[in-house]
Amino acid sequence: MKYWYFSECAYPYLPPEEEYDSIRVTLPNGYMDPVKAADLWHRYIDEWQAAEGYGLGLMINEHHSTATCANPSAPIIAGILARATTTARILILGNPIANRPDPVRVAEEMALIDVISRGRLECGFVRGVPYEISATNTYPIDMSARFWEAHDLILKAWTTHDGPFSWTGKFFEHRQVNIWPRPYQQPRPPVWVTTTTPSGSAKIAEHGHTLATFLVGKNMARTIFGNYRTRRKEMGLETSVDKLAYCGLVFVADSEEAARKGSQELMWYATANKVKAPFQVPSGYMPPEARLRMLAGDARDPNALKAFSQDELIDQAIMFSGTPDQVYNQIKTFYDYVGGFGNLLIMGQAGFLGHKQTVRSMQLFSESVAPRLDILHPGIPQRLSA
Amino acid sequence: MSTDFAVELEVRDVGAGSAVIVLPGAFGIESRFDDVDDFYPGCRVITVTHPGFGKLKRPEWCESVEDLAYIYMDFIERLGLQRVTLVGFSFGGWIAAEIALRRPTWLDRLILVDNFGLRGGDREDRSTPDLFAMTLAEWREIAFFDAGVGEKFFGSAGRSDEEMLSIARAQEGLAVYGWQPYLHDPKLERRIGRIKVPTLVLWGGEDRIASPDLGRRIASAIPDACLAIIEGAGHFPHLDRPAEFREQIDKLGITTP
Repeated sequence: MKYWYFSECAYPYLPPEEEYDSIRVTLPNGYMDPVKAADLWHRYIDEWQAAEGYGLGLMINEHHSTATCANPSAPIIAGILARATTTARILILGNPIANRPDPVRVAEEMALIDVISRGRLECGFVRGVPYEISATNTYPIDMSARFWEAHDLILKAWTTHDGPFSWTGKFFEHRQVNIWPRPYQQPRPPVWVTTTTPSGSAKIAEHGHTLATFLVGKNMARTIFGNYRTRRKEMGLETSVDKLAYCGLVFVADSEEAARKGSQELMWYATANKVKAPFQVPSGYMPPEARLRMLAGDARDPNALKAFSQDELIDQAIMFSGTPDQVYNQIKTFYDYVGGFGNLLIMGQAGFLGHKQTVRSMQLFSESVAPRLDILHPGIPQRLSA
Repeated sequence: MSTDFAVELEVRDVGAGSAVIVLPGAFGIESRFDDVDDFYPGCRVITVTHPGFGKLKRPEWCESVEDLAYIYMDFIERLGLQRVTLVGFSFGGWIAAEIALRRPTWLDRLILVDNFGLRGGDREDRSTPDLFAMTLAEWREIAFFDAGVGEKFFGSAGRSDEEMLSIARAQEGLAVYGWQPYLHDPKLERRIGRIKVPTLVLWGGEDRIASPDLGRRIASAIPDACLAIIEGAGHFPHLDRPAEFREQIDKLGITTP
């Protein structure tokens, strides 16, 4: 199994929740102290460097207009890590390509990171969560078609080396596509695509990309992975476990008590997510049937994590938390339940979880959990670095 | 290449007499209120539901107000109607203006009610509030002068799933056609003076979605236009002040051949 350390890089020093409508889109950035933000950013980068030292891959994401994730540009942080690390693979998960106006620019940025890192980029593409619509003024209609057209254009830009080609699609037009630099990896960096719904699996499977799903729990993960395997089988192809990835909240501590305390901090990711309804379910982002009850004013947070207790999160395999033994058993149980997967995305820091505990958790994971999980697939190259 | 505009439309066709085509606003259920037809006695009133706002699937190619204008022109021509009065409310008024700019021979008269299509203010003014960032309750609050009327027509309490779904569909439709540029076409202001038919511009004096200033600008740009501001009315003057609204329509004498 491959392991990827991930933090959303929150800015957690906020006023009481009652004082604002929404942590996303409308929370004034006057609440941010730039000096504290600088300290946090240096710390978060240190943590990715520590993760490299423990043999973990590095995963980066981005969000916009939100204190839950103070990273509006995954490519910038990936560019920093490309130079500040030497061996770890760098996973951007991902580029919100239905929201970005110019896919050729994305292709260029990714190629540059791949070159600087000497071929360590894993390039993810994501549709983007609903809250991103207003934050980026993205047209919420036909996002899936726009996503896949951007994907096709980026892959062609990476793999065309005999001069410019022309692109006139439904969404993007570019008459001279000819990126410099080209990617370091040949023919191109590995591609990942996320989905949180069962219907999203088939197309990812058809392309043979790595499918990642986030915090969806054991039943949904089983369905999503199952649909990927089914589609591959229909095409007469196998599914290698390294094409499947799952992201959970992960916290490992020396004692159960310390684990519970740290996990509670990690749950800030879910509990702090106060979002105004129109930003949760924007017009056009999902079928009107799915938006129906929101209009009546009784919308449930689609990110229902907020309502779960720590034990429920663990039971649902949304969180893996405890001593190394406990975490190993939780992941092993989940692994068997979903039919195996080859990438664990470790959401290992959130909110006020401190640097020391964060790094201790990754150390325990690396030294006392990972070696036991590695045995599950002895044929697959394991550690990414170290 | 398909050049067919014959899109299947959801239509409500009542009464007999002079033809009135109603292009409703962008909020899903206001076109279905029975009393909307009562504003035009002695007329054949045909009210359409915009593609993407109702139960029928929006054709994939139909993604702009201009596309809607061509669909409706084609629809009216196929009906063989002559001497048509075209009434457009809110979002529907924007479509009606686009149709009138194309000067179809069958168009006799235009009525624009609190319509979208133009914007006011400078680049940092959000002249129409961001409707996509509002809850239904917040939207009701600014859309109506009289909160009781808002509650009656758009309150969610006691609203059936079908009606709520209709509102949800209409919100998606509004996003399809009006997301960006936001509820306006930057070219329309320059062009709107080319509308040549007699036009009545009717506006709610307290409209907080589309300011009465827009109504004044539209009425002064169209050569043969007159303006009626209905005081004590918001974005839906026909719902806030139905008697006053009807009085304005009556003055036009549409039923007179």
